[in-house]
Amino acid sequence: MRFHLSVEDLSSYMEGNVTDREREKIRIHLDECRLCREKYDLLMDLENYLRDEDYIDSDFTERVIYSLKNGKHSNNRNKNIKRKYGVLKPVFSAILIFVFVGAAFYFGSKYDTFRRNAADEPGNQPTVQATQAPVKTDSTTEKINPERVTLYFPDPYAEYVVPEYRTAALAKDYESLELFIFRQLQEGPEEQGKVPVIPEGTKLLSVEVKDGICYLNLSREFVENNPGGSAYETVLINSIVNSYTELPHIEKVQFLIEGEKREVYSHMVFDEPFERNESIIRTAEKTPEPEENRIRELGIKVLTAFKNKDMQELSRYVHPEKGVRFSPYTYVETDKDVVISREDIITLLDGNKVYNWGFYDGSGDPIELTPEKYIERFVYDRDFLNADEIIYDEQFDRGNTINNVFEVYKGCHVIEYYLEGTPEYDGMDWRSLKLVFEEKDGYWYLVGVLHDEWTI
Amino acid sequence: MQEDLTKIKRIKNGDIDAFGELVDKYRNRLFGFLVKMTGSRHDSEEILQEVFIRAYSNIDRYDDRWMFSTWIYRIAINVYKNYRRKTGRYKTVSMDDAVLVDSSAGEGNPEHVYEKSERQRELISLINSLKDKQRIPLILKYVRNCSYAEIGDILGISEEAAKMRVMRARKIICKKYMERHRGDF
Repeated sequence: MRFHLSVEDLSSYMEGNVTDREREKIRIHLDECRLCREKYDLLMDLENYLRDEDYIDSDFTERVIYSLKNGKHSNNRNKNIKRKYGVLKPVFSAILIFVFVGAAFYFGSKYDTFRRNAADEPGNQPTVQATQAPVKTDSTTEKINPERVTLYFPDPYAEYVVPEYRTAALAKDYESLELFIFRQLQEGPEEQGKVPVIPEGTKLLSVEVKDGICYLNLSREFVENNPGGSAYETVLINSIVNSYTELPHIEKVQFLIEGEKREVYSHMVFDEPFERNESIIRTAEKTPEPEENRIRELGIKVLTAFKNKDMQELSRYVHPEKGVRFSPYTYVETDKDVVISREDIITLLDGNKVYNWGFYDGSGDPIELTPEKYIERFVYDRDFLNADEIIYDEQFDRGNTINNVFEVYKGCHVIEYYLEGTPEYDGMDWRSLKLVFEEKDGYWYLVGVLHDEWTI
Repeated sequence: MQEDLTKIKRIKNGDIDAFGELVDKYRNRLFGFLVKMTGSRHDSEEILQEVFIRAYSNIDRYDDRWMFSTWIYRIAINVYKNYRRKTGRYKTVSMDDAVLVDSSAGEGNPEHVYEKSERQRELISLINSLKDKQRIPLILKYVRNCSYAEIGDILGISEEAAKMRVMRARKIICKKYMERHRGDF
């Protein structure tokens, strides 16, 4: 069995968002494939379990009304209830006055509590006051006196964050450590020639630490001047969050823009506090093998060459003996896939020669395209240079097509560029491009270009 | 929708029976939601009582640009979160037997009933292994058959984000299930 259905496929199938033909194909596949059927059954059982209705006791409403009427949960509505239900009887009025006076005192003192609780209610997102001093922190801050401050900056490829250290003595000139950290991030890393990290023009309106969460209130430039790219966004947020969570009293960072929570930054969900992300940190101990760095660099060069259709440039990276094999749907067919030698790459786009690159998924028609059209459709058909994920030497089953890259290309390095699907297409428009590099005489050369997308 | 608004007007004028009608209308769907969230009928009932009391106390703050159902779900989620905070953040949600299939009512062979309740137990543990961020949208999606736009409104996120979270929830559940049963495949 070559293909497997993804959760997206199955969800669309269950929700009826598939064409008749797709439905039929999926149905046939489910008949044949045990693994996919297991998955499908799981999703169906999940749905059925959650859809099962629960009924509360029929006297529930009565109990709620009773407790409201009896004022256990007094509030501004009580006067109305009392008016309507006429509980005021002259005989008891003296007692009631006494009770009311008592209640007035009681609720007067509770008023503040109520106000505070009101922040929990819908529509009242906690905002940070930016009125008085720009910086307001827990008193615990003053007790912290580290010798050095650790800051994290994005690496030049926007793949990792790298620590840098500052002596804490420098922070003395600032009102707080939190402010100092922000200014340092704004200035940028020393080791990389101070490339600014924070989007230009961003102002820190206030910073407050409450219950371990650092509320970082920034001006709208932080959003407006964000250079874009979800990879950059990830490292930007992580360098800020990781820098702040170095401080022992900060566990998470909540970003606020002009005092308000914002749903998404431009790609990331932004209305919840961020936790520290250790996995994105690269230190001397955690530095990848030089080989990995080399492959990552080569990957970017190859992608750029494909993007610009610069075949001369591309040929420099192609394996001098083996050439490069093109696979339209990830599954490598060693006997069928087109292989182009290094020499032929240079002139590949000249002329209108049509190749047979394999078969279209779905229709099964042969993919007969000129190399130029093939590259547009089955190589650089998306902005892979701004991939959402870059995956090195790791098999990542996207659930659809069986991935035999590591079986076919033994001893090679594989770098995968993955772009998430958009909600518009139910996430089904995801794309992936894998580049395979093989070693020869201490150098790494491109031997495989594997494209992948949603298949049935 | 219009019906709710009329009732809310009556409540604001002091008619507590109108509130009773709203409670009648929403209690079962909210209860269903909370049972799936907490795994406990008993806790759900307590939470639900608190939800309605809060709604009543704050009815003046209800903004009729939202659907009443959206508003009451938001309150329910807030009260649920407070409950979680109180019962301990890392405490695993205990499951009443009541939540599981009523095995005594099961027809046919006991083996089948057992299998079914085992399956349900597993589903519950998979759902509970999700973070609230994914769990709440997933449960809303099915329990209430909410549209993604409605889920977005309730959670204050975009329709797209709601859709993504539900999809992510399904993926995580499938992945965890596969990991647990790897040997079976």
